[in-house]
Amino acid sequence: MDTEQLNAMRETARRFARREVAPLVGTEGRDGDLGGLEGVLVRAAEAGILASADPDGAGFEYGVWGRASVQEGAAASVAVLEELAVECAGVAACVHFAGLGALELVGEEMAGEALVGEESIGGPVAVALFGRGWRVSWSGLQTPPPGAVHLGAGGLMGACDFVYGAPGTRRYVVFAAGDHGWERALVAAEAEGLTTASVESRMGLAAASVAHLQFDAVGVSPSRRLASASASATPQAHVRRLMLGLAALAVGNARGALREARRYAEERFQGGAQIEDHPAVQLLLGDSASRVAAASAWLREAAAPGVVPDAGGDGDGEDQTPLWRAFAAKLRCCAECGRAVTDSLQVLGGYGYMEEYRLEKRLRDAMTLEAMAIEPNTLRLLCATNPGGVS
Amino acid sequence: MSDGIRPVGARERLGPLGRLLFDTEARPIWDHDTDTLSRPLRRLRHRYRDFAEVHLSCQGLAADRDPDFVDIPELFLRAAREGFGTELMPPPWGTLQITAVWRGLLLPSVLKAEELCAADGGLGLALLAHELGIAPLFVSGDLKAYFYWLGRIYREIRAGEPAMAAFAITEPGAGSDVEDTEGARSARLGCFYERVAGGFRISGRKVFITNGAVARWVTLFAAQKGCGVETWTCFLLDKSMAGFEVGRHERKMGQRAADASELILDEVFVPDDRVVGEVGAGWAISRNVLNFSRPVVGAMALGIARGAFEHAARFCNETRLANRPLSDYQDVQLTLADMLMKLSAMRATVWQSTRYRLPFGAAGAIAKVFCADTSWEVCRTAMTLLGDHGYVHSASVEKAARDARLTQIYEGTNQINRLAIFESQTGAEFGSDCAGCASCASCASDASGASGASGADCGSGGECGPASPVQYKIKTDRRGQSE
Repeated sequence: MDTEQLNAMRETARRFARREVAPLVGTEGRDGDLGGLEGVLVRAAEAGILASADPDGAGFEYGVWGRASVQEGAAASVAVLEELAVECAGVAACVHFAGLGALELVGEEMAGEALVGEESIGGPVAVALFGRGWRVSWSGLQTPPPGAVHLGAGGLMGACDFVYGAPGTRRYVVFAAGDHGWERALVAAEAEGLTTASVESRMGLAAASVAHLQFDAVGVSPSRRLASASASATPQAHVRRLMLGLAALAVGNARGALREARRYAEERFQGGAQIEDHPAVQLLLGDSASRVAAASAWLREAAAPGVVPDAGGDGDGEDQTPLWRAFAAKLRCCAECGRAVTDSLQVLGGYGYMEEYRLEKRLRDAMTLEAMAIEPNTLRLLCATNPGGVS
Repeated sequence: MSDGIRPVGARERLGPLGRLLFDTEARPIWDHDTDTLSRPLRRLRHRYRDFAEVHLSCQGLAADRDPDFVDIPELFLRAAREGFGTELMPPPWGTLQITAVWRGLLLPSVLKAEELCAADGGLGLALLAHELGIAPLFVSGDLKAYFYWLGRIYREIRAGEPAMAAFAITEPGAGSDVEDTEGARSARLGCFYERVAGGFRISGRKVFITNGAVARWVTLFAAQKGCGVETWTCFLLDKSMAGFEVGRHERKMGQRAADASELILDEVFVPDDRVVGEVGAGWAISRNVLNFSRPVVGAMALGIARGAFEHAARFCNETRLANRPLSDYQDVQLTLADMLMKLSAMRATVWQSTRYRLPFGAAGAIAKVFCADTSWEVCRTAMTLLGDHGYVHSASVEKAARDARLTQIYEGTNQINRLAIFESQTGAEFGSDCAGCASCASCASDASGASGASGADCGSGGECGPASPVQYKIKTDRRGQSE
């Protein structure tokens, strides 16, 4: 995908976000009008932004984490997520998580029928990887660690905590320890033996759904065991996309916060001068802008197509981005953008702390992004112990 | 590591005197710090903690979800029954322990703020804001305000009435302006008084007033109509006054248990005897109230961070990753140690700020800024330490982070407080030999800016007088460059 195409996708996402997402966020309620979320996601699917596992779906090829991302890299998906997150990181998270789920089904032989049939069109799929009590490590991504869900003759056993998805998730692609290492299985949310507990009352990203899954001998028929040959369907590949997407949400969220802070600083007066004329405010805005710029640059490099993998990459011959760069992108982008958001909020003073100005929502989202999936200390350890060395 | 190498084991190889000099007892730093206090303060600190654990900890999360869950006046009365709502007057009027304030007026207040906010930032604020509300009655040095009005408020409290107070300076167009000298020169004020027979008529609005909805008494600052902050006067209002209403309640990110409300005044008649201090002394009173209150805000930030740390430490002990407690991992130990180190530094800063003969601008602002910024860091770290659990409401640390964020904003944003540090130390650390002249830029600026905030003729015939000059004078070297 060349720069022109990438910019066109970015522009499409930006227009969609302004038209559909921004009104949803509004100024009322703690997190906006979440009742309208489903409609926005339907329109995102129609516009080809939301990925689909259905070859006839608009987003099958170029939706977020659509099939093209396997061959052409993460840049386009990351760009679209960033633009969506400028208006709302929560909605962008739904698109991100649903895309990750859809991609796990792309290319499966049964996709056109059993997997993406009537039961799933428009119904998001979520990916369950992180087993309870498992600390992510390089070796654990290669070979299932003790905490992973187990897939044996008796079905799926174990638990996955904090499984991210879009509202209305009806099925899960579960990474489980099988006879040949990591294997994948598709299970319905209503499957016998599967208990799902929604994680309510969270700090941010309220639009997305988060659930704990408990598997107690959940039967998996052969047709629901997904092919494991594809290198794009490994835990490494999934985690890489997950990390890059979260980094993109952090950057977009911070861009939006900075935009709001600048707007406020241009409009309001203090001490007889526009707020933006005060050096104290300029320091905050300048610091935020430089952090967002740095994070944005790092993200684009980490997601750029055609990056030659170092020894730390998984070298799958398809998406060439080394995994450790994705870890570093999530770590750095979330940290820098979190700081940028809190500085932007500070520009508004007391108003920034009030719900209606939406800066506090952005800060809650930013902090959630920083803590979620793989937390900073583990990311640091992963970067430090990258098998290929930090380069 | 063998037991002989560990400090406890190694200590046993020492003689009796050596063992006495080598403290290896595993005690929380809280206990070590408490030991450094006088006996009355030690007792007080324990009582504050016990009260907070019983009455605040268990209600914090619910009050955060639903601010109406806790009956704040009732909670206030429970605190008052413990003697925690009447600590600005000695017995028989109040519960001030002279022996406790011997080494610093503010030390009991900061101890209380830390303990209440360690249990819950929102409920802690609701209780502490009462003291901010009555602070002008004490800080003004007005004996009538202190003995008559404060005495009356305390009588009501002793009688079992929830006579809470609120402090009202912030206005819709003047938030930070009225907490900073430079901003105050040209603040766009929106709450004014007019002299009338027997008193004053006040109209205008105040916003973000903590306890604005539940307080019976309000110390409110208003300027003479058409004038600037130099005419600010402090009034003691009560909610029963005609024309005095509570407006909208703000929806805040954190510290949600304490309401932040708008106060609307429509020609409220205030009798002469409700003036606190002198007419026109409001600016001085408000500045000194901030000198007294900012260390307390620092202590609140410290308390919130301590609460987050305690939750995180407990989580790390109870949670197992790969069959080991999280606290067994060295990276987690490093992070927890870092948090504890920051808590110690915050406490040292706050306690130091109370040891001066009187609170002053730089001391209060340093405590407030350092603790607010550090508290935010500690809470963020606590969140990330918990990973995905960190953003779940029931884990409490995300709430602590939201609570901590407000301490960087109220009592003057941290940016305004940094300027206050500079202003307070002008003539000392940032001093100049210039005693005031017409030629250097800073003095000329002072002179030109001394004509009142609005610059307009207020019609007072010069009664309001010039604003107090502020002396920002940057020390310059011989080439005229600032150092």
